[in-house]
Amino acid sequence: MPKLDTQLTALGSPCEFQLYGQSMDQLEEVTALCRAELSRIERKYSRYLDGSIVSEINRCAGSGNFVALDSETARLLDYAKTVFDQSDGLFDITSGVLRQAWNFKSNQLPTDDALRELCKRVGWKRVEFQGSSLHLPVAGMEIDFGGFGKEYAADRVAGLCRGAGITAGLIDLGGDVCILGAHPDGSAWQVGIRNPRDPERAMAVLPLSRGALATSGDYERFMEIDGERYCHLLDPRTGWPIRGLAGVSVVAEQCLVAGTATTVAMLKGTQGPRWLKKLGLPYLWVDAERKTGGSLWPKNAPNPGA
Amino acid sequence: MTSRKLNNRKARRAASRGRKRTILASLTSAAVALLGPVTSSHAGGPVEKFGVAYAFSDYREDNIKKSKFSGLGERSRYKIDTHQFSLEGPVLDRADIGFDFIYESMSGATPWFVQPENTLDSTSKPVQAMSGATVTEKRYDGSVSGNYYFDSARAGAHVGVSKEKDYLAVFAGINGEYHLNEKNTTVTGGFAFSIDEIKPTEGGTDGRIVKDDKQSINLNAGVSQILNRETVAQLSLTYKHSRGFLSDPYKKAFVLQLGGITISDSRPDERNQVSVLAQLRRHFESTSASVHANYRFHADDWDITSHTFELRWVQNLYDDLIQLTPHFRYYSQSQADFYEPFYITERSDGLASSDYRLAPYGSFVFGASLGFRLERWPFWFDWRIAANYERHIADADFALVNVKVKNPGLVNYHFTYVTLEAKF
Repeated sequence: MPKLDTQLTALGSPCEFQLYGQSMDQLEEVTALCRAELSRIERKYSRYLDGSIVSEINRCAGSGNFVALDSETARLLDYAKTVFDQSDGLFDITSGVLRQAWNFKSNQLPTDDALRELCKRVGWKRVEFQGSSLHLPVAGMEIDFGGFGKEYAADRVAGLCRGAGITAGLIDLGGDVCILGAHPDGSAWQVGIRNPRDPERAMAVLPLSRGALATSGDYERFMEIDGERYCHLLDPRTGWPIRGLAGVSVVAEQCLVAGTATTVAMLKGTQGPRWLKKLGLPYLWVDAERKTGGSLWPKNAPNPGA
Repeated sequence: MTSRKLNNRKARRAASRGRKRTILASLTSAAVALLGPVTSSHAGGPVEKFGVAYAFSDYREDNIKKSKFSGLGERSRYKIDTHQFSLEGPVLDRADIGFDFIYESMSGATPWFVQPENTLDSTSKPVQAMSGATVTEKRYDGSVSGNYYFDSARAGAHVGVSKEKDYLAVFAGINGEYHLNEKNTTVTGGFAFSIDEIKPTEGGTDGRIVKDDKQSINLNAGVSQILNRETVAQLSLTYKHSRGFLSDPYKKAFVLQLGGITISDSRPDERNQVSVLAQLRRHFESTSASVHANYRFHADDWDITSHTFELRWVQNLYDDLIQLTPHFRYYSQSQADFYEPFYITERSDGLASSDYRLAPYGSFVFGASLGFRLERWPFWFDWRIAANYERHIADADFALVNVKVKNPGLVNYHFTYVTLEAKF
């Protein structure tokens, strides 16, 4: 069965498609569709691109001008609201401004004053809706879909592939993985999960034939000061990096749900494992002390910290 | 201060209780809402699962009241039992197909003609003469429908046949919809026709026709607009043209002349009907409910105009596993220009009908349905079972128009149905 592998960079991450199909023509056509979808999502939702709706919303913050939402954006915001509610406000798409205080290359901690000032511009509950238009009430307030945009894109691309009749393949957007179906010989995909303390190496390999896997960790951007690790995942209430967990992986039907679960678990810190257990999806975690747990750990797996 | 804290704590506790049950369900349903449903709706794409459904309905008219009954025929009115089987499923890549089969059995007496209680006094109270109790009649109906889905459009077609001992109808149609404006706007249109042949029992006796036919065409167009995330508005127009034998061969009209004679029900051989339907649906996320409000205006060249107001409250309970839907409908119509409860003398144009359906009246419907949904159990099927009951009461006093003489044949009925659906 013809197979086409494609590597590319999209949404700021290394991405890979491995698709099986009826013919190379079909696979090339599907791959082109997937690329187009990724660049569409990037153009529409990147907070770095002036033409994106996210930039437009952020530019209008504090101006009193409501920005009209198309239905896709409205649904993304609905999703964000649901996750905010289900995470007790920890997952907040307005918390991105807190990054302004954290320069992970500087090896310097921000001042309390700086964080306090930024926290005044955070708060999903303060976002104003008027019918299907939105306004951020404070100048300098921002939203971004960084928290689940990549997972959304993975599900969208997987949906396109399925719609085009692809029943065997894998979509990997920077570690957010959607499985379109097992290899044609029926064997499962072997998907590696990064070791948060040695990201170039896998600490576990999961056999997957369907569904999606997402991973979140404190190793993506961080700095260490006096032996203390400060990572890019910030508590929207305090502005300080979360502590407790080093990495979480979750398997779900949708990449979006898997990714949301990993992020919320990370934000929950030491409460994360309990929250994951209650959630009921297959999961695994590694904490800052290199302890591990979760239903996904293969029996007799080596301890990644050992 | 203290009480506020307490309330906060209560709210948190309540929230955490709710969360235990729904955290994954909430995330999944929000993801499905964002990414599109796993089993897509008819509008968005072909059905993705095979489905079988069975429905049974019981339509039962109240007996005619003694005070409205002339004494001729049977007081027990119509009863219809309907069994419906349907089958649907995806075919090819972008299409779906459905089959419907209906079996109906009907029994009971029907209104025959209306006469003044005292046939020598045109001002006396009109009373209804009924037919004798009929033997059980059977109707069979079979149809096939299919849809093809384009990226932002759907094209559908259906064809079917309906057969009774005295009746044969063949019908077919095409319809379509087109989504634009990021699927916030949907334009729909359709064309359908029906060719019917009637061969009444005991044709040729008592002025009854032996055989005749009628044809009708139906055109509709509509637009539906998503106003915001909670609200959808829809407007549609329908035009129907019928021609041929539009009378009821089993009904007669009473004429007072010569001490009272009955003549055959006779209606114009052409009818043009238009109707406008406005619908508003609003969803209330906080209560997991939605309200559907409809208004329909109908007018035709027989001079009947009617208004229908309908209100439906859809309440989802227990993560949408249970759906409770109370509904209410009000209807009012004016009479056909040639209608009379009975006639003093025959009309010069030869038309005559005392059918209560052409009379001025109003009606109320009160009803409720209760549905249960089971996912992937038992047998890994998705199941839905629903029961619906409604009560219809009609009276000339309910009409918006002023009615001088009430038709005694107006019908009150109970309508009950249950459906069982399985998808796999």
